Amino acid sequence: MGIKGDHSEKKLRSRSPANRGYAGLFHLLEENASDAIKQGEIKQHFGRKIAIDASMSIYSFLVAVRSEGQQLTSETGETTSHLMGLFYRTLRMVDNGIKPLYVFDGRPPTLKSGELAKRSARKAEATAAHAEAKEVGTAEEVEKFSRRTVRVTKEINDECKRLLTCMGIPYVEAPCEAEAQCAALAKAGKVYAAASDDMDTLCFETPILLKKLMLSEMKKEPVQEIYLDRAMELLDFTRDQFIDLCILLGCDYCDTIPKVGPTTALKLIREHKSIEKVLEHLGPKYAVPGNWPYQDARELFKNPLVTDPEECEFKWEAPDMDKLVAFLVGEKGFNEDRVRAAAGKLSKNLKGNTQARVIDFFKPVPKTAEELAGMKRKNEEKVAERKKKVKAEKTEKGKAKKGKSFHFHFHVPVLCKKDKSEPEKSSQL
Amino acid sequence: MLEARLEQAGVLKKVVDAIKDLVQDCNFDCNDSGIALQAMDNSHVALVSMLLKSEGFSPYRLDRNVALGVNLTSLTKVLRCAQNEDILTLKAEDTPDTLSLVFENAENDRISEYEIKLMDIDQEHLGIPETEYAAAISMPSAEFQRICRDLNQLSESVSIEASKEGVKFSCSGDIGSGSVTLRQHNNVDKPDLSTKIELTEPVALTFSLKYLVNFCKASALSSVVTLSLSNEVPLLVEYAMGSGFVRFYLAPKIGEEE
Repeated sequence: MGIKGDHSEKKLRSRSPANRGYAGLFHLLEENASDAIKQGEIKQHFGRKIAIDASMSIYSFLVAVRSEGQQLTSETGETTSHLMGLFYRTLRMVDNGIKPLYVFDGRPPTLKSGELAKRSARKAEATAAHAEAKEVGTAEEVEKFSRRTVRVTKEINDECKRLLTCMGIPYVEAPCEAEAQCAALAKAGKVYAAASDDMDTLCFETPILLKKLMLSEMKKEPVQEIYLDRAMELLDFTRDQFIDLCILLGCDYCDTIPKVGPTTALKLIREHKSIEKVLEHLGPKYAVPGNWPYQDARELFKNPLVTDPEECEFKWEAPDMDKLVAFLVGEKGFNEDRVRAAAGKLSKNLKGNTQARVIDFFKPVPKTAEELAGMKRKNEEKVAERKKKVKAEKTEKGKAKKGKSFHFHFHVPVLCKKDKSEPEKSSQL
Repeated sequence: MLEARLEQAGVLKKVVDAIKDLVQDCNFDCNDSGIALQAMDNSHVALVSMLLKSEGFSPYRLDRNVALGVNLTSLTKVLRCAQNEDILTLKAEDTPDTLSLVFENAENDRISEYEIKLMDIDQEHLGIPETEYAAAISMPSAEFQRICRDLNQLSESVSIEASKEGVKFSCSGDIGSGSVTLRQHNNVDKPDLSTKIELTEPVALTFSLKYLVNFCKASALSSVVTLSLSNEVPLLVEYAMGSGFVRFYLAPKIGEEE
């Protein structure tokens, strides 16, 4: 299966202001369907099989696992950031009782070529900037651009697969997009959830998406669990509408409409229900990209190229201590004691009883129509309250700018009588 | 509105003490049958189900069913301000923002009033099926607590085996192993100290001791505890009170499927 380096470099995208998609959807859910997101500790997921978007994780290790701004290297100068990251973060999951299944990207869909070309261009830019920074820039700049030049090569992927095999951790190779395969596995019940920081995974219909699962222990950040059905229920969207919303927010497969941000996107889909209808009603203010392939993007989300989950075989096995030591210690210069201690944990956590959960035996009572309505109402109240707060803050700021003379001229005493809690009114005057 | 008067504040104090380490936030669902609570721990391994029947209150007035979302740590703080013998009255509006608790001390004519803020808790409610358990063991709650604490020193999990002869709690850990066997016996003078075993078929299951030790905090509620077991279903640990109960369900540890 051909693996293109650039295919997995998503982190970079979310850092560039031109692409708001990923952050966009998450914030949109936070603001409009906060009950669809749950935060928890990693250990709550003990005993669960979780499909992990490997390529994305490896990329993030290359970017983040560093020492003094430099990638970790072995004595011979080969990069080892990816192995270090993969080894210890996987260990952390296994230590918490999780059974990770890694999914590697296959060939990227043709529709992604535009996006990939852009990424290459940015990469080339960063490489040039990096070279320049080395000459004249500050250390900070050098580091910044060096992070941006990161590419996941086939060798890096192969080394990661080799490491996983030594560790007894299974992986599968997706025919196309790894997120799509993760989602298919979760949807088929083969794994509990898909883990990716890429919100697109929700469009591929994973019932549960785990974010921030792969962060290092030191970050102390909670794992975020996003429930697709709850999100759609709270937004009052069908799957088609949800996908259309995500396309407007910005996905990997096509551009967004300039000037359509998250708020507008949500409003447009709420009002018109589909991109087709949105386009019919869109005013001249918005320049829809020519030849906009939104229908193809939609098709990719709805019928992605994946291997039938029933045909994916994976098993968690005991680590091969000798091979692991030979690889990590012998070839890559890892500390032998630490590798051995870690591998000991791998085999210990593999055997023994697994704690079941009461929810495996007792099923949730479906919410009554009344409860559902109540849930939606409460959600709307929350959204309204948040909006009010934001608005209040804005007017508060506005007032501060305009200064005291504003109040003086308009005989404020009348307002003062009312209440401080209605700051909007004073600005309307 | 809700108005429920409890002769002894101690009952609610003990109930909340028994569950506060398992659950942080939960709804007290008030309806005609009384005040009920159902919640799972964060990991969804254990479930607690509590009922204080309306008969246990005098009076119990309720105009409309209401769910009181409470942070149990906050509730514990307020309940610490009550003495066990105080008369406790719970009050709430129909769509309340706060729950008010009034403690009356008859001895020195003291009335204390507290209010705690309520929260919106979106909780999943699980349907607990009626189960004919293969084994039901009733025993002194203090005895069960001691066994769990003792074995917890050696291991993380305990295997509970019930047969006609008795019930055996056993464990093994890094430093060694241990077991406690209780035979069925009847204490005529002190019936609460009897051990009774009702058995339709032998069962053997393994459970996390950490959770069992946690459940035992409810021992103050009742001198007798009932353990109900069937193969491959959660264990039920029940503490019955005069007019209500606290029930804990604990999912077993199971062997690997592969």
